[in-house]
Amino acid sequence: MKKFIILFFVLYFLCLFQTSFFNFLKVQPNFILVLFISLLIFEKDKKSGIFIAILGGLLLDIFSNFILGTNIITLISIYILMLIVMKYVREINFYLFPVFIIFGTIFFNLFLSITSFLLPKIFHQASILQFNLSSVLLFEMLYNLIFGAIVFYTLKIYRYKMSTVHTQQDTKYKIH
Amino acid sequence: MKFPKIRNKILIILISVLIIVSLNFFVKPVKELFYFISSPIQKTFLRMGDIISNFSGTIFEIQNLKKENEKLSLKNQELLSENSQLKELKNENDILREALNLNLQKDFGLEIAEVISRDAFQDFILINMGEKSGLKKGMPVLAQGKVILGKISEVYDNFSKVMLISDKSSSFDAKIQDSDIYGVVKGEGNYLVIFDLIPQDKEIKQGDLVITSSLGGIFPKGLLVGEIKEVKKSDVTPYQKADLQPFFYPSNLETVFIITSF
Repeated sequence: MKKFIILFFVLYFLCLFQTSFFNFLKVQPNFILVLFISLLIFEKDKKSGIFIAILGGLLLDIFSNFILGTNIITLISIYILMLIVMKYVREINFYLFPVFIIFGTIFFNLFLSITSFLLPKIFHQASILQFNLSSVLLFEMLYNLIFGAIVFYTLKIYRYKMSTVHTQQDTKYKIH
Repeated sequence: MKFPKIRNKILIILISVLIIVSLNFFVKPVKELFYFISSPIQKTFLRMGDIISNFSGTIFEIQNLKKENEKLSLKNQELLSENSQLKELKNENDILREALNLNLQKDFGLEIAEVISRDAFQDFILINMGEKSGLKKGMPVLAQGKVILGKISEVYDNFSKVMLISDKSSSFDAKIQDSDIYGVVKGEGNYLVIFDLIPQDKEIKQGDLVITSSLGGIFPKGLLVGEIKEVKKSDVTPYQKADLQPFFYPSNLETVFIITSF
């Protein structure tokens, strides 16, 4: 429970940060997507994955101009796609991680374009299909890769610290 | 047995669809609440982002600044001479108006609002005024200097969403200043705007100013839209179009004006 509360505040902060702070070069990064991919591939945390897909998607929908549910459906689609891909990938190393981020960003934008085109139709609203492989997507990938590297090393340090704590606890247990 | 896995996936999809449908019924209060809680943080982030964006932008643009400066000083001279001519015309106009006892000056009913957040992906901004301040869907929004920015697309109690003229679903009638060349300004997304449907026989050139026309009635006439950046002529199409450089700078948008009556 504590983990999900922390995740909620992290997601909320990241969402505000990406929608308000980052407007350089007319491009916004997608921190939520990066966190979502990182937790799925490194921690293999399916529960957190679906939690981010729903809550992260909801927050992104609230702070964007999309119909509520657009980002949720997009992230759930990415979640299902990731689960399928993960079945065929045995080990994720540092070199494979950028590939996940790059393809994750492309598929996210693709799915988002489709969802944001189809979902308004249900509510009888006008919508335009917009997906272009322009420099905007390239810069978004770059942003995501930089943030991805930060998440990668943060998770690495966290794992290292956790393993040290466990080893210390084990040694204490053995001494006693 | 593969049933539980498939059942779980179907359950996830069903739950998410249910969430989506139910949330859309009370979307306004949910969004309003989040905007209310987040607006102070968002405003701070936005201003911080602007400072960094402007600073980094200046570093990248330093080489172009000299050229730009020369260009601007030249333009300034032109404007100064134009200004003096206009002052003379204004005096003449005032005298004539007084003589005819006509009140042609019609001011807009204006409201001033602050920008809380921006979305480059969708070309919209969130402002800190809403239905309680008398704002309604469709009201035109201006940037400083009578520059058209867009129109209100969604109104909440204390907040409103403004669809910028660069949004892909935005289009309105406009004309080249001091001419009878009419066309349609269309949003291209990502703060890009084009001036389309200009008849082939009309001559337009780089630097021409585009202003709103009274056709369509979406915006008041005479508001600045942008400057022609590049003309795109084609023999195949019956119309010509041009890339527009909008007069608003997204990174400098802090205060906007809403026209409540015109």
